Order: sequence, then structure tokens, then C-alpha cells
Amino acid sequence: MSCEFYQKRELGEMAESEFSLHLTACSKCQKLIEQDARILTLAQSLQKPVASPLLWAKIENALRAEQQKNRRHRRIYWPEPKWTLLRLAAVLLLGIGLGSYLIFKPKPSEPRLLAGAALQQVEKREREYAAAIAALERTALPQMAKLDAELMLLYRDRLETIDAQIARCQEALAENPSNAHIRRYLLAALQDKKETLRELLQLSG
Amino acid sequence: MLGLGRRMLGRQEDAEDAVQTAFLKLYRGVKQFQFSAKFSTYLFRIMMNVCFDLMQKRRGKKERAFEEIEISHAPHVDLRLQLEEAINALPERMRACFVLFAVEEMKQDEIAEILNLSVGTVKAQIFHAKARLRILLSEAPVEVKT
Repeated sequence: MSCEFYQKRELGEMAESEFSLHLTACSKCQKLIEQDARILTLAQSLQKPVASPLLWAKIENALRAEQQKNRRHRRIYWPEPKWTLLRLAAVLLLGIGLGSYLIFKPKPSEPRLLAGAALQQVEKREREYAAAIAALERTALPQMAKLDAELMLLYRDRLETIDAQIARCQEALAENPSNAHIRRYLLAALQDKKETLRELLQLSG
Repeated sequence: MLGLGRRMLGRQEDAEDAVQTAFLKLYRGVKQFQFSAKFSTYLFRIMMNVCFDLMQKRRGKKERAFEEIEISHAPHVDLRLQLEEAINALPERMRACFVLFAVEEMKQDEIAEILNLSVGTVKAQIFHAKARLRILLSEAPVEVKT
């Protein structure tokens, strides 16, 4: 089933206003437009893949490695041998500077690994979220049936995606519990779930 | 970007590798970015080239493995699954045009810039993609209301 007007419009060979006029009288085109709308709606509702929690950490590491590689390749060109004394002085100065920096520098905190106290605090926050979510789930999930089918499916999809994200984080954290990146990701997912359930409750209430 | 990679390459791991490679390429070539173009278009163009490179390598190895997608019992999900499979079966360039247009909701001129094609070609590719997918949906037994 096809109509040359439809094809012309799709290929940009026909003005939209002209096609609109034709559309009112052509059942073939009406059907085609309707089917296009179905395809696009369906395509837009396809599930968005969830990035693994380690993806951004991997990208960050790859970029850091690239940066270091670039630094290694950067060469220092010394001018003439007559500058030897100056070179020695520069190296000496650099040595003294670096030495004093290493001696007096403040102890750095490792940003990617959570220390004991911070870890406990984060775990406490996660437990609070989990408890809030459990309470919300008890109230919100039975209410889901009150929503119209389209909205219910949308929320179900969204909750499934968030759950998948949470499960991946928990899996990754089982191997590396001090990774701040994954912890942050998990907290964001838990917060997202809490907000979604709250939204659901408001809609159904 | 991950969604585009997943739909072009079929596997989650390949899509994540492609995103990582795209960011590395972006880092290496960011100086070449011309401010006349949108940054997102530039980024998607890099991502798309990475996907095409990977697909070319895969063709060399005669490998084409799309991940099994989880099947739910709801009928609308079956239709989505069928659509995913039908998209995967489209020729590469047609698939790229359709995914950018229908899934990523990009404008046709943006797609033309990303894929280095003319707007007319993009329109034609989308038109043919829809024609193929229409056959699938007209054969589908369930009415979609999503």
C-alpha cells in the first residue's frame, strides 16, 4: 500500500500544507501516517540501556593514561653544552623544591576510596534510603493498579531500569566496597527510586 | 551515546567500549572542534564513526552477534522486542539514520551532519526504514498503545 503523495512528502518534495489537503481525502495516506506515528511512538519507548557502574571510572582511567602517555612523550630539549652549569643549577633548584614539597606537603586524602568513617556514613545513608523505599513500596506498588495502563507501564519500566542499576551497583560494590564512584552512583539510583515511588504515590492518590 | 552504541552494535559491552573509545578520540581531537557545529553533533559524529569502525572489523571476522533481549510476558513488550530485532536487521546506514531520528529524536539536518550525508539521503533512508518496519507492525497481532 503506497501513495505517491506520501512518498513525495516524506522525501521533502511536497509542501506540508499541500499534503495536509490531500490527507483529508486519501485513506491510504491516513493509514500510512497513522502507522508512522505508531512506529515512532514505539521507537521512543524502547528501553534505554543502563551504563555499567564502572563505565565512567574506566573512561576516566583511560583518559588519565592517555594524559600520562602524552606527558612521557613530551621531551625537554637542552640548548647548548655551554649551558651545563645552568642546567645543573636548574636541576638542583628543582630537586630542592621537590624535596621540600614532599616533606611539607599535607597528607592527601584518596578521593576515589572511602575511608572507614566516611564509608560508615555512606552505608548509613544507603540504609536510610532502603528503609524509606521499602516503606514507600508497600504503599505505592498496590496503588499502581489505579493508574491508567499507559502510565502504569511507563512507571513499571522506569522502576525496572532503576532496579537493574541498583543491582549492578551492589554487584560491583560486593567486589570493591570502598569505591566512591560506585557508591555515589548507587546513592543516586536509590534517590531516583525514592522520588519515582513518591511521584507514583502522588499520581495514584 | 550508549543507547546509540547498543542499537548499532547490538551488545552492551561493545557499546560501552565504543563510548570509551569515542571519549578518547574526543580528548585527542578536541582542538579540531569547530565552534560552528553543535558540540553534541560533534560527539555523536565521533561515536558514529567508532561504531562504523567496529562494525567493519566485525564484518572482517564475519561476526554478528546481537544480544538476546529479555522477553517479558506483556504483549506490548513483545512488539518492542520485535521492533528492536527489526531495527537490528536494517542495513547499517539505514539503521543509523532511523535510530538517530526515531530513538534519539534528532533532526534530519543534524543526522545529515553526523553521518556526513545530504539531508535528502537521510530523508530517503528514514523513509525506507519506516517502510520496512511498517511491514513488521502491520503483521503484528497486538494493537500498540504506548
